[in-house]
Amino acid sequence: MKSVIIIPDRCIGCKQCEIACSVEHSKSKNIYSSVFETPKSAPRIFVLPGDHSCFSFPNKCRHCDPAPCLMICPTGAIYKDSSIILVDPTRCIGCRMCAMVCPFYVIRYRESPDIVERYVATKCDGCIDRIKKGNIPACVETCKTGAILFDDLNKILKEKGLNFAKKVFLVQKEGKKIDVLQEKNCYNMLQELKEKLYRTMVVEDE
Amino acid sequence: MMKRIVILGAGPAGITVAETLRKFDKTSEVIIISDEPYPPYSPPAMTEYFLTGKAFHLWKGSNFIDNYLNAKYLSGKSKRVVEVDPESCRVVLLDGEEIYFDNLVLATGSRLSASIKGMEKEGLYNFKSLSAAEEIMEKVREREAKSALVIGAGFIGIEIAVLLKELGVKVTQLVRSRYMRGMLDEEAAGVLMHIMENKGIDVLKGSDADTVEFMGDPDVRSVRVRSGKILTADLMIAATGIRPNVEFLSGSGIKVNDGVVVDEFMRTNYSQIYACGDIAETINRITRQRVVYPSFYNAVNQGVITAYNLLGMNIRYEGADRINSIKHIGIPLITAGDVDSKDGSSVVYKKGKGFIKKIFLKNGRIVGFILLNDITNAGIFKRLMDRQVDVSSYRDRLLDENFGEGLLYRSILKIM
Ligand SMILES: Cc1cc2nc3c(=O)[nH]c(=O)nc-3n(C[C@H](O)[C@H](O)[C@H](O)COP(=O)(O)OP(=O)(O)OC[C@H]3O[C@@H](n4cnc5c(N)ncnc54)[C@H](O)[C@@H]3O)c2cc1C
Repeated sequence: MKSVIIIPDRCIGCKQCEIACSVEHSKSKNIYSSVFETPKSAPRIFVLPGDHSCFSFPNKCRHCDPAPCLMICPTGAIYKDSSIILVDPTRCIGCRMCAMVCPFYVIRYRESPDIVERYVATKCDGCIDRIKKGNIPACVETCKTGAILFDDLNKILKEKGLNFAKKVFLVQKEGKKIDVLQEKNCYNMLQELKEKLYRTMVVEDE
Repeated sequence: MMKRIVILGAGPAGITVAETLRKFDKTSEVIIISDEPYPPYSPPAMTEYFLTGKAFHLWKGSNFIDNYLNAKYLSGKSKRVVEVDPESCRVVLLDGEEIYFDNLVLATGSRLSASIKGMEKEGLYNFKSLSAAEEIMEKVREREAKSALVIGAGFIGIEIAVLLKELGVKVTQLVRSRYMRGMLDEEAAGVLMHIMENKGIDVLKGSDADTVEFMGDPDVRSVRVRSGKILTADLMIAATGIRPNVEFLSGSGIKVNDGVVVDEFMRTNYSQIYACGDIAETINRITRQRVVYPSFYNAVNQGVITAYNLLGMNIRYEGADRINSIKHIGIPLITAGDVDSKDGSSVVYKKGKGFIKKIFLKNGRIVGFILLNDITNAGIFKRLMDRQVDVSSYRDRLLDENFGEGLLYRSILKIM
């Protein structure tokens, strides 16, 4: 089964997934007109900073199993549909108990087009509508660096394992001194570069 | 022969046991017994139900037992369990019916408690169950109640005070020490009091709020407080605390302390009998002290573990959480853990326009927090607290705008 997989090392913090998510969950699904809608659509994926200048992390619902938010919901507003955890805004009383137990803080309270009197729990719905139509989730579609994938987790793990084994094999065979743990790719290099820049800036500031 | 599992109480705990059981076991006979004449309901959603008329409180739907649980449901006043006999594996109901069991689950929850003179008199209302709440609402609907006196300022006292106010009743609330004592520190409780007063609720404090007697004969008509004053209203509502429903267990041999004593598998001192929810005395997840923590979350978590162990899976309960979100006050307010500790704890504090955030730490570990009107990272703090992660190296950043999953994840080697 396919699910959304995050590879944080590849995230460069461009926030395009946030925009795509927001547009996808707007009424018009159009980036230009969505800005003028009320309530204004907002993302359900959050690109957060890490503790280095170019460490970012796309944080979203992991659709836990068992899901603490689903268990704690006192009105049955949170439910599960084919391994996706969803919220029925018409049943939500906005009690905040789900946010209280969500270990990743990915549930927010917002106005919903269907409900006027209260803010309701709003979270990633796995783009279930798109998937039912045979499309991939909006954040995945828009990600330019392969940091957000829609794939079979076991397949990805296998690929990664094979890749790693290949490198170990090369090291043994050719006696090459490559750092197998620290994969040198353009993102890592970019990060190093940015950090150097950051450090010089900090030094100058002082 | 088919195994028979009898569940006493159809609250969140009892229903969760049955629901979890049915995921794995479609054949055992399940009997659920409740002394209330309703389909299973969720107490935290009662206020919303009375405010809007929508059936929010039926969190699993009205036909859940028939449609999904394939269980027998005995409900109503006459079905109250009056006796449990572990030796002969039998429960006795008020109407005399006897039911034998292979496994028994005690999930009869809790009810109003108070140690005030005149407590047992008629005419004193409470908001602990749907039956009790309906009695209040009947008076309100028929416009017999234009004013109400709410005695107590805990979780349930707040809910009923706000509900009645919204429905146009004049509400006076007696707050002996402060709002949500034990769950909020003085500052947050003070803010909550302002909120309640701004809603138009009359708040009485100190000796004017310390009830010493419920007066009236035969029905309660007024209360006498420590200052000597006599206070009265159309509706007298007690929200003075709760205690486990364990009376029917006296003489049964089932061990009861503050609640029914269970081990880490939710088993009582009789291995075929389990207990969960508000009735059960378990352990605090962090301090490992024995506690009775009545809450929806603990009730369902314990219900799940009970079911697993009924199925023979031998799964340990991690412990009860002391955490809650206060509803209906107009702003979000989450409080968790130990927020009133005097010894050796330090506080990370942030106050801004309209919000207060506090994290209480001991030995570099989070032991409690209060988030008022800004609940950013609530669940992350809970997770760090539950696991007692040493947060000393980033202690001062906990309440930063940028703190969160990104920081925790993208520096994993250093701080987790
Ligand atoms: C107004 C209100 C708001 C709340 N809000 C929150 C909230 O926001 N968050 C939160 O975490 N918690 C909240 N709670 C607490 C939460 O509802 C309880 O912790 C939870 O319901 C406990 O579930 P339980 O199944 O153990 O017991 P209960 O819900 O008390 O259910 C037990 C059932 O057993 C029945 N019973 C009792 N004795 C017998 C007997 N002898 N024979 C047969 N049946 C019997 C009772 O009538 C009852 O129906 C709230 C409670 C109230 C009253």
